Amino acid sequence: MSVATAVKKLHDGSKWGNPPELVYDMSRMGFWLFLATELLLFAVLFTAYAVYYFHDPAGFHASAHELSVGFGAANTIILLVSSFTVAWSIEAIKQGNIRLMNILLAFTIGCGLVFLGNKYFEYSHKMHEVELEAVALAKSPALLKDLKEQGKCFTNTAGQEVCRVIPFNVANIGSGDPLTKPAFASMFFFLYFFLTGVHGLHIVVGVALLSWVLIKGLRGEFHPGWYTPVEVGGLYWHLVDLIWIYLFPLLYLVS
Amino acid sequence: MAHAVAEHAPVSYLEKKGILSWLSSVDHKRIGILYLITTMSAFLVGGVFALLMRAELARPGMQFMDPQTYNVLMTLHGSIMIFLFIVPGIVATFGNFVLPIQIGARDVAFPVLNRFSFQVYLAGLFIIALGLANPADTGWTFYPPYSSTTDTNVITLTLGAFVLGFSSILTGINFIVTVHKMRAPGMTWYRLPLFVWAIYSASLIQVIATPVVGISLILLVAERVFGVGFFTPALGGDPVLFQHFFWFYSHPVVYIMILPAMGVVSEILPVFSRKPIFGYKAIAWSSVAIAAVSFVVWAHHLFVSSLSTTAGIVFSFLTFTVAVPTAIKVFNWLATLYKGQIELKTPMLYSLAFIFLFIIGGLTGLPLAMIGVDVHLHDTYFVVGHFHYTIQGGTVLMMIAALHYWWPKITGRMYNEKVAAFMFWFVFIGFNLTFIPQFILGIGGMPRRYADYLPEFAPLHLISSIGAYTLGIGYFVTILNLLISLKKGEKAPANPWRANTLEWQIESPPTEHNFHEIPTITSWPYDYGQKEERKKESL
Repeated sequence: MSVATAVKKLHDGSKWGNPPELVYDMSRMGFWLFLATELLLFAVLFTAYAVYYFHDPAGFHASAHELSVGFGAANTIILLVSSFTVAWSIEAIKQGNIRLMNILLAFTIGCGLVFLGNKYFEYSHKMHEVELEAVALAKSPALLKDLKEQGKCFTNTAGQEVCRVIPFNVANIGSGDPLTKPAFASMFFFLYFFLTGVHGLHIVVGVALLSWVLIKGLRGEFHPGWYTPVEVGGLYWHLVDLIWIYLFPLLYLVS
Repeated sequence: MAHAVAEHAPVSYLEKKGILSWLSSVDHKRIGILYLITTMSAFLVGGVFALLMRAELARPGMQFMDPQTYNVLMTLHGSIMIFLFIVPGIVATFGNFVLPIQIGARDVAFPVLNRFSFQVYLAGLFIIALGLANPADTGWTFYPPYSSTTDTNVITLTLGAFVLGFSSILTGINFIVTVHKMRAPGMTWYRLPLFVWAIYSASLIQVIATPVVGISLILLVAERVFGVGFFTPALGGDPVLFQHFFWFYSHPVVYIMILPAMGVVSEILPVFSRKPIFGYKAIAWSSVAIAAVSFVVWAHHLFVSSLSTTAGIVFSFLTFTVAVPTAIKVFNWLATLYKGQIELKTPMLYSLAFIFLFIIGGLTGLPLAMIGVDVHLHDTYFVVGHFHYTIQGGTVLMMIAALHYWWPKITGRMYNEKVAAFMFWFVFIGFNLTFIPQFILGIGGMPRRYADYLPEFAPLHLISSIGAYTLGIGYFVTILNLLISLKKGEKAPANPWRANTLEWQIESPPTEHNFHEIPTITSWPYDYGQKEERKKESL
């Protein structure tokens, strides 16, 4: 095996040293197919959201009211900016500007980490008691009964029946019969935590992927003739961003 | 590229020994063999569970086990056969081994990813094995609310299925890109062997359908862990929603199983009847058509699950349309046989049996697609019979056929033809003996999934059990015969069947790099019995 083939082998992991243009071509196609599977995965969750929204629109509105639009909007802006910087980093390496590419990748990773930090504060806030309209709890009769027995329900100044409830009650996990002691206050909150949880997991994977690309970038492995990992990492990040663009209105603005 | 390869001496891909050299290999052929070993082992385990069930069902009343054990066996039989054997079955074994060679490539597009797919498959297998301490009893369909309330290990089984699905997605992506980008010079789409078209179509379904069931199974796990009534009606959830999600994958998945089998038939028939395949383009595009239609028929599993009449009529009609591309294939195969010089070698025997059994399997699907009739037949043994005629009579038989057809190429050894052909009759007769009674039982009202039955069903159940054991002996000796040939078989020539596809133009077993030089393709591979071939034979 010649040196040139050995180097190519390093690049694409293929035994036969496919030329870099072919590897670029194949990786892009393979990755787009992978992104399609990701979209289908979220499509299921969006379908479930639609089904349960139409079962109980009032409950969804009441629950969504408890989410902080400020946090959500901040995260939306952070992701939009990071999508721009990751796209710019690909342009940078196409023009051979390795230093700029590295800076932009590092900035994108930073945005991902800030997003996750925001989510952490949001999540921990949601594990404390909030006032939720009883209508949002009506789909969990066992929970509503429990709350009433504990004297946590009352009529507020606006004349609505509300209960003080923990949207995601960690203490209920695995204690007693899970079907009579639900961990989530309502279907909306389950969907909220599940959708943002799965999405957050994708952010973590995206940050890891871009960090791997950045390490390679710092080692000087990329040049205008070989930047497939940068491109692929960028594609993944755009997907994560795109999905958030849908999650934000569905979860935060639906109230 | 040819230059770099010429530096290798032509050694068989089997040359390197040791388990590590196998597990660390990114060679598509070795990965194919690894899948072959694991999937066939799963087949034997799943088969033993089926035989245990048939032993219990041979007589009315409970003889060998309690109903709970029966439920567990039924669940494991279904889950192991579906997730561990038949879905990766032909696609991951022969797809891996044969597809890259048939398109004139040295490997798949992403060899390391290919090895990773297999490692993920092993992880899924391991997770399922973890749950065997208290195995699930839900059936392989995991319908809530029961799957949310049973105290058996539903979580491990569903997580295992999720991980296996991930493996199947990665394999699918790999094959699609391979077919698009790795074809040898001159290998146009219409010169591709039909097996490649079939695997390509199956891969499309794998990529599109699998994520849907994957996330649904995770939702089920979340429902159990967090106690949210996502699919449980008592807590405001919708169990029918799970059925929609589940069948959106699990109906197309039967085409992941059957399309590769149809691909194998399309390869074997022309070789053993020495005639060009009839209707190449029709067969190729009908594979794609089946893949497309497979996504809009799922709700025929929900005819009795509160589906609206309008939706029922629409899905009933769409289900009927599947019969069209399927029938196109059958007619083209029959036309290929017409006036051919038919050689009844083992792969051909299985292929002919496939056509026969698959017609029965397909035609019994039509009454199930009619809403009115389905209300009567739903959840009876008729459905079990229909399913096994298509999937066992179709896919499993063609898996065995493919094993015999490509065995000389894979191992470099010829199997004992007499034993193989003799055992075919055990399989064929045993199969019909097992499942024809199940159609009659189903029409008579025998519900599926039951450990016991009324005395009037006894004679047919006994016949079915006798058939099952005949079938079991058939499969067991067939596989034993193949294994014995590894030691005792004659050395196989490069092209024992005089076939034209590329894998037969190289050594048996192939060298590590498949081709000494990448071939340039000038024609399709089905010119059997044409002037050129007759001229060669007369020389």
